[in-house]
Amino acid sequence: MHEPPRVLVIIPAYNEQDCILQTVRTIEECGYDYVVVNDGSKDATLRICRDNGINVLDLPQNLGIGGAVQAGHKYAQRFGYDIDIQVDGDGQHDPSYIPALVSLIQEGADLAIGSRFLEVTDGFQSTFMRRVGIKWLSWWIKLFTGQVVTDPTSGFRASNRRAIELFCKNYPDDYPEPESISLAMKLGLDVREASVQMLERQGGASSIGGFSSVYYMIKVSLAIWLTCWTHRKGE
Amino acid sequence: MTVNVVLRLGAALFFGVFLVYVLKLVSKGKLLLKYALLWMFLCAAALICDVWPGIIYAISGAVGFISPSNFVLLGAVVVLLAISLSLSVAVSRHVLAVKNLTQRVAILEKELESKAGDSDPLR
Repeated sequence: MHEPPRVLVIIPAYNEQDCILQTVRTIEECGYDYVVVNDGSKDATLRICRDNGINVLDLPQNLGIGGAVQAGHKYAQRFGYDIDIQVDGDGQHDPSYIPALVSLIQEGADLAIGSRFLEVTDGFQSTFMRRVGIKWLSWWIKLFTGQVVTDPTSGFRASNRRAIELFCKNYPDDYPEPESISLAMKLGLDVREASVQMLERQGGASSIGGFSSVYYMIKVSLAIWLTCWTHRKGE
Repeated sequence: MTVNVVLRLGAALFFGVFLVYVLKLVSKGKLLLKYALLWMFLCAAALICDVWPGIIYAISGAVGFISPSNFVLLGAVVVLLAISLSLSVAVSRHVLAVKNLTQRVAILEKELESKAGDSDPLR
């Protein structure tokens, strides 16, 4: 047996003062290295982190979720981690599923996605409209890549060194998950899913919702198509 | 073939003032010469056409416009479109640069922190 991989949990946080501490404590209890990426929060997120001795990567400017997660990947690369796991700062993601993602990576996946829809579970499944959107994106990705992802918007994902390297170089800005999945697939990375249950968010507000969701769907669909078209020959 | 003299004087005044304003922005350091050249060139072209309107008449006639004013307006729209697009490209470049710098600064701060925090073995 070779030694176990070094695993880093990346927790992007923008104005998560209400739940960041609890999220971090849960992950600490599981014994993982972690880094909170404070994405220029305007509330007390940074102060809470500093006061409680939480390992925080402080972005001096707000970059949006894509830039924050990418900063986490860069941190993982800089400090030599083998696998990084992206977990939302609002407590939606249960760290007890992390081993499932890690073992997918160890079985050879480059990018492992925690999916709510892979198996029927009693976990939080999001609203009806949200699920329609997810189905659409799933179908759209299959159309261009020929591969199935049941939960393309999931922000609960594990990347190995190869995926980390790719995401350090190229990571989409806003609503990055579906787009980065298509990018990884087109570049020949092995993308797999593991079944997870998610909880309802403990606090904070969803980054998606209301009228802007139509704009979101159009934008992400376009972005996926453009990504696949740009990398159609797998460059 | 005669264009109203008052109109031409007005146009010349407008572009003259515009050109001086652009130069002033450059000298104050509020506008980079790189981006100003385009506007200066545009002013110069407009002034030349103002002094010798025959140029416009000749070109628009040769291409087949019914009225020279249509030609001038179409030309203006195309030039402004090109400028707007090039500005969007410049902004996108800066967004990417700011993102990279922000991430680099944060990671550097982290490295300093861990060095100050004594012998944390960082590779």
